[in-house]
Amino acid sequence: MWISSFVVTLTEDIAHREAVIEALRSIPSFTVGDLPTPSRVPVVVEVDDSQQSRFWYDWVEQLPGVVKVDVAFVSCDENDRETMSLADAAEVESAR
Amino acid sequence: MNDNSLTNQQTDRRGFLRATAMAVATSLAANGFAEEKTPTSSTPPGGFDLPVIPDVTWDKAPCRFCGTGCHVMVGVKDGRIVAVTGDRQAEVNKGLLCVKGYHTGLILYGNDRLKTPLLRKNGKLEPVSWDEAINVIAKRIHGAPERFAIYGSGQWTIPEGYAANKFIKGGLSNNHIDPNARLCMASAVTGYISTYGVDEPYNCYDDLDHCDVLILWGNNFAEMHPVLFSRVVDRRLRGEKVVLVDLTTRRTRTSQQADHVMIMQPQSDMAIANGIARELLVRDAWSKDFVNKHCNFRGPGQPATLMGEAISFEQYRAELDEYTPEMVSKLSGLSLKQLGVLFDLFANPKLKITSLWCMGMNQHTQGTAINNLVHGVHLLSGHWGKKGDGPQSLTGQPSACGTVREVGTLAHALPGDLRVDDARHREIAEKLWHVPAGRINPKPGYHTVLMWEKFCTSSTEPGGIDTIWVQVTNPGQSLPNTHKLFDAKAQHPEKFLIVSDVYPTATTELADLVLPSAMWVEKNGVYGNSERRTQQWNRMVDPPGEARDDAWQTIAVAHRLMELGHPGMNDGEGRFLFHQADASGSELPIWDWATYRTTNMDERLYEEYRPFTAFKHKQVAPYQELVKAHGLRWPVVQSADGTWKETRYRFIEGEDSFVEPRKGFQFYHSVTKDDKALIWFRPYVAPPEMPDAEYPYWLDTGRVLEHWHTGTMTMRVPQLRRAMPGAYVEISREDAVRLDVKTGDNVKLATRRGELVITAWVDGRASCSPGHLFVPFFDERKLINRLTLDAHCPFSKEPDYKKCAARLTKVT
Ligand code: SF4
Repeated sequence: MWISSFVVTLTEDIAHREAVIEALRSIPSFTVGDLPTPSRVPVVVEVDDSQQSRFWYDWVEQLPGVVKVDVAFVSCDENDRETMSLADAAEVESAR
Repeated sequence: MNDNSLTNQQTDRRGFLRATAMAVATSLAANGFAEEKTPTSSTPPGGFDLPVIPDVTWDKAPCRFCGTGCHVMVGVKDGRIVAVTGDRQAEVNKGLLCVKGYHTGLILYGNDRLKTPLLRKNGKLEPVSWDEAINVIAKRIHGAPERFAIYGSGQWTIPEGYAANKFIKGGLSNNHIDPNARLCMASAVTGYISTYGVDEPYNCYDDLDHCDVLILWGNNFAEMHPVLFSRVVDRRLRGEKVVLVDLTTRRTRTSQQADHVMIMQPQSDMAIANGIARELLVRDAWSKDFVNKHCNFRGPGQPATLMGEAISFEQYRAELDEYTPEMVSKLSGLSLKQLGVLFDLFANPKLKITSLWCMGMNQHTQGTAINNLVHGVHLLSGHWGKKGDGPQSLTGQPSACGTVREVGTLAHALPGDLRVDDARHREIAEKLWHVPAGRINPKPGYHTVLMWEKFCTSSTEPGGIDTIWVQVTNPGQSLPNTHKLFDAKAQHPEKFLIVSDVYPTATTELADLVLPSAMWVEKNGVYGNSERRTQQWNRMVDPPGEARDDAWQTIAVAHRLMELGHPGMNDGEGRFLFHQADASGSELPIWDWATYRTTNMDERLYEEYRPFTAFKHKQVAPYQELVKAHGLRWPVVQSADGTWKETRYRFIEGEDSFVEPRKGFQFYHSVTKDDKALIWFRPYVAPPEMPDAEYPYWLDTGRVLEHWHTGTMTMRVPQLRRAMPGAYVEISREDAVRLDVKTGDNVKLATRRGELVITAWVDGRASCSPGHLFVPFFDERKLINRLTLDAHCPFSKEPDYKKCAARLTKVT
């Protein structure tokens, strides 16, 4: 279990903003919170596989209308903790 | 417990964590960087709204990575880190973290952590006891103490760096100690010293909350200091106008947000700065009142020196005469219109202009000069000394300021910005260290490049270095021209390399002895960030296996040397150099690991160091004040009511308690001893290596968002490594077409020092101009520094990693 939360900062463009919020809401592993200000969206991301956490971070960051993504919180259970050594490099290379 | 109750418990826990994560994010989204809080000693780290998670205890720490110095709250359960959140009461980051900070907790848990000392026997590293390892080092040093050197780091904690500095300078009477920070911010140091007479920024991050214009001088701010960049982006989103000028040699993520992207030719920053100064004079738009009251003029002298020689205003004007807009445009590649934007900004006294820089100006063969020039345009234009209106350097490492510049772990320095070549400074240090007069050697030791050159050449030469002890850094990957400055060690079996680290690295590959170290919250620590903020944290978890603190390693070796009879390991009263007593006055055997571990040696070493900081008005806060705070910016002075007050701006009346009444501004460590700063003329000097017919490209190297420096820690975090798995060469679309290279193709990159086969990335994450290439240095399987240049600034001795000539061919 890997639970994290992001603050997604949006551009001033209203159309873009709405599209981003819609996109965020369409992802089942995301919970989009109430918007305390129009330009910042709190999002909780729950994934079982820790690889997905970073995947979704990158996915949000590249959405048109997203200025930046900051991280607020992260929690991971020990069982889900994945570790690596540089010796695993070949595996990462082939996964690329 | 049956399966159902286990599932229910997991679901509850998950729901609970989800709610916690949402509460933290919502609160941060509501506030952003909008609030400006005044720190007090009484606000608890983390604030009052720390997530409450069953069985998790929280404590504060600065992030382990960059010089921004964000504060994190670390959640620990059963001796392991299970959660990380930004510290919402911390002024630096107000609870936000970048993607690296987010993964800080995982850096401890790579599965190849070093856990036992390893000694090379018959070519192979084999486990040995700590006792044997300490013996080997002590005997090695005892045999030739003058041929021993320590290579340290801006990631050393303040107490670690202090212990190493005292050991070598106050114990071995040898000044051969230098940190990796020589490679990243030494030019900022010489720039400050030769401009204001004393090192480190006068201002702080608050400028980002007040500037109207932010000029980034060769600084990819969005990726390298992402949380600080957020402060500015946040202001713009609130409707405030902040003009962002990106003065750069390649388009980066920073450029995407900039109002003006100015792609300049490498090294032409010097011509641009001189061009701005000239134009201010031509337009009669310089700040006569400020300059007449608070500045003197300076030229480089013949030959050029760090402190140069006095020149008149008329000489200054005459020197600048040739830097016409046309000449600057030709050298820099900027259009007259782009230059006009810069001229107009600096000529407008109503604007508040902040200039920021980091590696682009520091890793420069004229690093001191360009630092001088940027300070100069601010002083000359009067864009200096108001909130949001001034020049400020940033650092790349978490304690480059704290441990290197303040503790003085540079080869010429003593703690507190004192110098070994100053008799009065040596006397101060000898008294504070209780060592006999004359113990400190007056001759500066070897700077980084020279130290490694001496180590990698024959040991029969006088003044050679036979043994280097590396702590908390990875020179096998980060030194420039590594074939010459590191790999050549393999040809000298008589040389001995000791490496204290947490993971195997390119440096441990050639090490003769490897010592497993504790890292980050596995030990107590104190860091000092880019804005003079000293930050303390406590040990939260145990290090793995037999890994031990670096400061303990230094003290244990010092004690063993004392047992071997080295006279320098005793103080003037015959006690151990690192003598510590318990409450009853009995000696504490801190060289013994169990005693060290149960004694807060950090507090003792830090409090021993603290008096040094008074001599240059850099008073750091007492340790116990740091325990209560989110870091405090020095000078920290005690008020009449006993409270401790930090300083946001130095040299300014009303902000800095050392400025005399009615002075307004007072540069009280002035080079010219008249409380004035220096406005320098330094001429444009061409780079020592430029593209030619044989090597037609400019090669630039640097960092990426996901990885920190040589990737030793971040390459062990799966999420970061998968996001950026390997180094690449960034190439422009035009060059790619010409060379018939596509993204993913292998290309051979060569310079006069070496070659490397590497994957091409057309346009890359950023975007190079035709004729320019970029390679990040985080990947130990692609050692780009075998190709870089070891030419360095004559004053700061900082090498230039940003520009050399290269050739690129497609591998077929
Ligand atoms: S900006 Fe730097 S200090 Fe802050 S979280 Fe990121 S890496 Fe850590």
